[in-house]
Parts: sequence; structure tokens; C-alpha cells
Amino acid sequence: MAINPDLRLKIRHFFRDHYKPIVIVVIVLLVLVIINRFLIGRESNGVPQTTYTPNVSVLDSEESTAPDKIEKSFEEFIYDYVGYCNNRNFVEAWNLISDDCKKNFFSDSYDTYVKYVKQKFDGNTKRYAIQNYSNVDGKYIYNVKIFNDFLATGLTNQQYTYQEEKIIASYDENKKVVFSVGNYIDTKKVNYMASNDYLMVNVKEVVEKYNFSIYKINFLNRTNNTIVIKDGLTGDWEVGLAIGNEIRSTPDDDISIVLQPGESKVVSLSFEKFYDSKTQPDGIVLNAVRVMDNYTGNPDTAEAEIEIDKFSMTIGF
Amino acid sequence: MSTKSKDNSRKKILIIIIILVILLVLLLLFTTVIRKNVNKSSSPDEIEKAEIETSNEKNKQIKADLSEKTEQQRMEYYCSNFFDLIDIGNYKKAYSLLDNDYKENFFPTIQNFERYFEEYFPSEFSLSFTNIERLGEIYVLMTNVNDNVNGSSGHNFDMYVVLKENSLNDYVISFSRNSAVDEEE
Repeated sequence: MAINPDLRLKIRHFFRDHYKPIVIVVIVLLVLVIINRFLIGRESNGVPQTTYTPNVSVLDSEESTAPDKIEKSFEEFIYDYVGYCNNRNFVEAWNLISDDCKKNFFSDSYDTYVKYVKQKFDGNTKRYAIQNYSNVDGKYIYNVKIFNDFLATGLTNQQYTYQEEKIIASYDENKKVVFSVGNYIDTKKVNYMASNDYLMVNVKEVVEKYNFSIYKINFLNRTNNTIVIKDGLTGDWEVGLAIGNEIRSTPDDDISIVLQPGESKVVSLSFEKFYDSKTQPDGIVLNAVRVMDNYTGNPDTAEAEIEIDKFSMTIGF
Repeated sequence: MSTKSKDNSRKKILIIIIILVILLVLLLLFTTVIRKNVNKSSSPDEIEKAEIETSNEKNKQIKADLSEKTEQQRMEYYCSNFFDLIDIGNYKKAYSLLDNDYKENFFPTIQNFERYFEEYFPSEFSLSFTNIERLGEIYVLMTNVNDNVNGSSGHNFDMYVVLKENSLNDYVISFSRNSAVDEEE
């Protein structure tokens, strides 16, 4: 049926006269359709929003994340490491650890490592959760929680507990990503010295763990008398780490430092210090060094001992 | 152009629009009637298909609601949802939500699962949540199970509920099986 040419003309005129509202209506309809499509797409997405951001540091005041390469390497490492440990394949797990960590934390002893790792992996299948903790000086510190497979047990006959340690990712000299376990970070060779007529002290090495610094200190007695640096009998702190406005005494109460005439001795002393702390230590303070004659170390026979001199000494960093 | 001719044209346009509207309404009515007839004469397969479609729609709505909730609210929802299924006797669905290793460890068959709830859970119970912990992708809810029939003298106990959310409204669950048993014994 042919449309009346006049009517066709009228329709054309109608659209021409009202094209503005028509265009607006069409645009509005298009926008509505696009929004609708977008919302449908979002609904079907189904990805839950969580606050779990394992690669965003929780400690740094400014939001910092590990670089992609570190992030990916760490996730692969922890997956393999926990897998090997769960399967009691400790040789493979040992092979994943950096040479520095093996040498300076486990003294290159596989047996020491196995003893350490068996405390964490007791035969029950473990799961893990990682969280980037802080990123300092090229050290990417992850907090790793290791726990029983709660999903497989429902925590039946168990308590909600987990083990925690810092595992550190960093680049070695070949720009390869390496990992250290057991809160171990690194070891630095240093050379801090102090001396007087009686004593020479040389701090040669610092082993950094996440929450402790362990100083390897060489003491040399330059006298013909006994020198007592630490025996727990002075009633006061004897060796401390000066850091900021405080002195942190060593928690190694069982270590005594007594030097026989002319004796040289290397002692490792640990002090509490968080690796990512902004405050750096100023030195080690020997607070009550005694130069003794007839020293026995026994309070019951103290009357026979003669204190020739007493002094304090600071080995500045 | 005369006024009469103008009026005629407008009338024609109006008529066309009215015809279009009537056609649209008829089309809508037609599709509705057809759909109803299809539903009436549908085979079991088609009914199942329709049920799946309805379920998908419902699931979509639940997902939309869940996407607005916090992690804690979602975990509490999943936990409640699981125990609601137990409450209404839909053991099959509840059993399908259990973690596979957990199933193997504690409820190798659905009969074990059903018997456990009949034996050790109060006939009517409600849940209250005291704490939630997250370990990576695992959530642990510390939950009180309250005996609604006997109150404080009844079988009330604390229980761990462990959840892992795969995606919205898609989760696996386990719980400390012996919490109810120990209290009962």
C-alpha cells in the first residue's frame, strides 16, 4: 500500500520540527541502556570485595607495595616452600633459601635447619597467609602465618592458634630474588672499636633479625688481671645498646663475659631492635667493667676479691 | 496549506501512533499468553529449566545484596545460610557446601552428617557470633549455638565455623564437629 505523499511529507516535517526533543529522548534511552548493561555486567562479576591486600605494606605510613617481580616471586616461593615442608621434603625447602641465610643463620648446617623447620611443620598439613609488612632498604619483609588446615578440620579438637615469622625477599648481587626465613634479614661486616689501657673492644659483625640485632664482639684483655664485663653480680645493667634516648640491656642473661689476663674472646650479644625502626643505635655501652684481682665469680668468696679499677666504655657506631 | 488539511495530517499521525501502541500492547499480551501456555504444557525438563532460571535470578539478587556487605557480614550470612539449611532439613544442599577434606575427615556420607545433627544439635537453635578472625583467605567465626527450646538449661555450646569464600555466594564451610558432642557428653 503506497503511503500518501502528503502524509509522508507531514511525517518528515514533524520529525524536522521536533528533532531536538527526539534526539534528547534517544540519547537518554541510549544512556539508560548502557548503564543497565554496565550494572548487569557488574552483578555477574561475583568477585567479593575484601580488605585482604597481602602485597600492600601494613606498617609503612605511606602506602607501599612490593614490586611486581618481588610479589610474584614471593607468592611462588611461599607456595613451593610450604608445599615441600608439608611433604617433609626438607631438602627442596632448604634449596629455596638464600645462601646468606643458610650460612649466617643456620651456620651452613642442614641438620640445624631441619631441627628448626620441624618445630613449625609438625606433620599436620599446614596452610599459610602472607602479608607484606614493611619495605626497607631493598628488603621486602613479609609476615607469614602458618597454621593447621582449619578448613579440613573445622578446628575440631583444636584451638585457634598459628605460628608467625618474617620471611624476607630481596635481590642478591646478580639481581636474583632470594629469600630468608626465620626472621633473618642479613649480616653486615662492621668495624667499630674502642680501647683503653685495660681493654680493647672490636665489634666485627652485626646479624640482623627482624626483631633483634646480634653483635659479634671481640674483647681483648690488655692487663695481667681479670677483667669482668658481665657476670650479673653488680646489681645493675652491665651491657646495653644505646638507641635514641634509651639503653636496651641484652636479654642474654646466661652469658657472662670474664676475661683472663691477656685473653681475647668473641662473644655474640643480642639486643631488641626492629629492623624497620627509624631510630638507629648509637653504640654499645659497657656500664660496669671491673679490673679484678683474685676474681672467683662467687659472691660467697667476694671478700677475697680486690677491685683494682672500675669504668664504663662506649663503642660508638 | 489549509487548516483542515493540517488537522487531517495530524489526525493521521495520531492514528499511526495509536496503532503502533495497540500493536505493542497486543504483542506483549501475545508473548505473555504464549509463555503461560508454554509453562503449562512444559515437560519435566522444561520445568527444571524454569526452576534453574528462577534460582539463577534469586542467586543474582543474593549476589547483588552480598556485594554491598562487608566481609564479616558476608561470613555471618554464609554461616547462617548453612545452618538454616540444616534447620529446614535440606541436608543435601548443606552437605554439598562442606569442604571436601573436612567431609572425608568427619562426614564421609550424608547419612553421617544427618545423624550427627539429629543426635547432637538442639531441635531448634539460633546462632550468635562473638568474633571473627581472618587468616588469608580463611575466616574463622567464633559462634554460640543457642538452644531455643530449653533456654539456658538446654544444650548451648560454643563452636568454631571455618569458611572460605570462592566468590560471592560461593563458599565452602567446616565447623568444630566435637563442640556439640563434648557438651552433650
